[in-house]
Amino acid sequence: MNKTISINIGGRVFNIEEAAYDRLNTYLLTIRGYFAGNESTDEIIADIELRIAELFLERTSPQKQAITSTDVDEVIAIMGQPEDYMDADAAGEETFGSSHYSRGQHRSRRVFRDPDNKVLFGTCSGISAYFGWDPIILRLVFALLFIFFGTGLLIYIILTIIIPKAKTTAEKLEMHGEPVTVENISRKVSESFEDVKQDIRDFGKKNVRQKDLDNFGTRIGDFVNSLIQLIGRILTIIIEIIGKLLGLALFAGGIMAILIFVSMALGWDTIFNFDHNGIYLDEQFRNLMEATFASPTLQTMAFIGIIGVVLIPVIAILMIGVRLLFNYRGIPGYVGLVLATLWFVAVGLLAATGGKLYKEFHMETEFVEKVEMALPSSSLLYIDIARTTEPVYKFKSGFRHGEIFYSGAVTFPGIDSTEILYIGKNKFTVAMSPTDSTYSLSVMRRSHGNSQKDAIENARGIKYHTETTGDSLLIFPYHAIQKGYKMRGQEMHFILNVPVGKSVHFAERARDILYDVPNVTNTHDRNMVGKTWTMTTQGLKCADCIQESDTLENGAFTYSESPIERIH
Amino acid sequence: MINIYGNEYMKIENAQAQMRKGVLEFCILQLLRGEEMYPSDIIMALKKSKLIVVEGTLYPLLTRLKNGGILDYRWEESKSGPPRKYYRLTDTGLKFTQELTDTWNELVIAVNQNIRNQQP
Repeated sequence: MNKTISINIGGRVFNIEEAAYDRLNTYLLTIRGYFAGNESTDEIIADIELRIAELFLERTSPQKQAITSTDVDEVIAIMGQPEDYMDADAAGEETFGSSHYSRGQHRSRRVFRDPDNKVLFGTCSGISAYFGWDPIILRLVFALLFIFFGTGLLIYIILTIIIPKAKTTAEKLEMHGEPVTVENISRKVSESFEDVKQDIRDFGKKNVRQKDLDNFGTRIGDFVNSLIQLIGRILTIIIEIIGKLLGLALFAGGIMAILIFVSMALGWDTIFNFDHNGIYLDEQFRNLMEATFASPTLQTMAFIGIIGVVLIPVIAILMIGVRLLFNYRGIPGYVGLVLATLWFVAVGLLAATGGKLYKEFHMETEFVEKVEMALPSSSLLYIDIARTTEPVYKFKSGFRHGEIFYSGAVTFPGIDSTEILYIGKNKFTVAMSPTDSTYSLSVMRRSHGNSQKDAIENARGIKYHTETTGDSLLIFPYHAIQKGYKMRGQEMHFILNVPVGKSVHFAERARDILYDVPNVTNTHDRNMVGKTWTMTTQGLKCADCIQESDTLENGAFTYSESPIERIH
Repeated sequence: MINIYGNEYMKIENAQAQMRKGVLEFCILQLLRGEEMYPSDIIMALKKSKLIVVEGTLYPLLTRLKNGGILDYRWEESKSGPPRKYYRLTDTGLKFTQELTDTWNELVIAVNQNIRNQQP
């Protein structure tokens, strides 16, 4: 329901809506303002009103009696903007009389969109016209900006909204700018004295401003509704989806991390292999803690520290995930503060235990001792692996390629499996024996400790196993550390002393214990197996190689189909 | 901005608009030569030739030509609306138009001559 006003225009009575009346009144006043000073103003206005009445009549019927804002807008579109009246008037006066390049009365250059030369909305061509550029350049710039940065579209939309379309001939002329010549400047100066005229024109201009604002509003309405709102809605949906996905990922990740951590803490499964050079009997988090830390107090401290440092961020991630996923905002702000505090406490605990642990490791010792065992007196000694009863596996590909791991309870010769803390991998190498005439075996023990004495004690605690059968020396590939000792980076190296002139043969299975065996041909350990090597004064020399050993590198053995290769 | 090379800003659109404006009056006179017309009829014809776009342009022009004694009008009742002003040429206007037409024809010949001479 809209209030209507009764008006008399062109001798006819119309019912017109209030808003429409305001618009029409402003329009007519503006035109009157433009013709101020012209003696036939009233006549012209009367003509225009007659025509408007005619156009209104076409827009009314017994069904539709009131004139609406839309009707007024349509009529104004037909009749033209006030500038158009001005234009025609000025044209008539100046075309035949004045020689200079006329552009209405006193207009300066303004930016418009050029509807006559448009690709989309004429924005580029309008701006180009203002600056006197070729529009293709600006269009190209916008296209490139759109392709490479996506910003071109946004800038274009904004410019299209804020720059009005050139509707009248006058505006189209203004769009192209006015040449600033001495003639034009003098004209402007003389115009500035026409104060009265100016005032009325200013009144007109004010109304034009209002009109411009209305147009602006309409443009905003059209454009925002059809384009920006759509884009905004799409963006909102996309951001919401991304938020939900992120929330889901964080939520799932948090839950997963907690499950992993709990299972580790409770020893449900073996998930991480912490050591690269050995095998834990029960590779579980708690066993590792026990094997590493000296006292139960330290174990507890470290345990709490690790839980705190790992779990608190997980909880935080989980909460962010819940918030994103379910829009849950019930978590009070202080929770974050509490969590942060707890996290720093946990870090402090870890640092304290870490310091203690460093002390336990800070002394290192290594010493060589002779193994009191009789080795065969033959001139060729076969090196092989002592038979193990439990399977040992090796990853043949992937992230842990080449690493070995042990499955099930180990049986170390002579030691009960329940007594074993840690199983480490042995290393085997060969040295030249310059004086002896027989083979001899040495071991180098290495360990860390909180003192030299402690380190030596730890090193002595390493258990190994060797056997001889016939011409063979059998090395058990692992050493053991019994419970009661702690994990202190123990290592066990076997050194076989070979007299010059005598030979060794490495069995295929010995591949995993060979470690940097020196030889004159610089052959890699894994290519030394299956061959006989004779000790010369220069070092080990291959006795039965047909060609350079290195060329066999890749063809030496093939992998089985399974990702894990059983090696014993 | 002051540009001493004023003509640099002379664009083809400006010149075209300028030319159209120049012939607008002449065309209105030509239209009225044969018959009486009321503004909307004139508008229709001028819109076809792209000389004007909106009706408002015409009214001040017609009033000025009428005041100059070139045009005359009479009222005619319309069945569908308010009375209409039907414009026609006065005797002075007829002479005026004839002179303009002669000038125009001379101009056309002269201009065409120039165009032809300029073409390689």
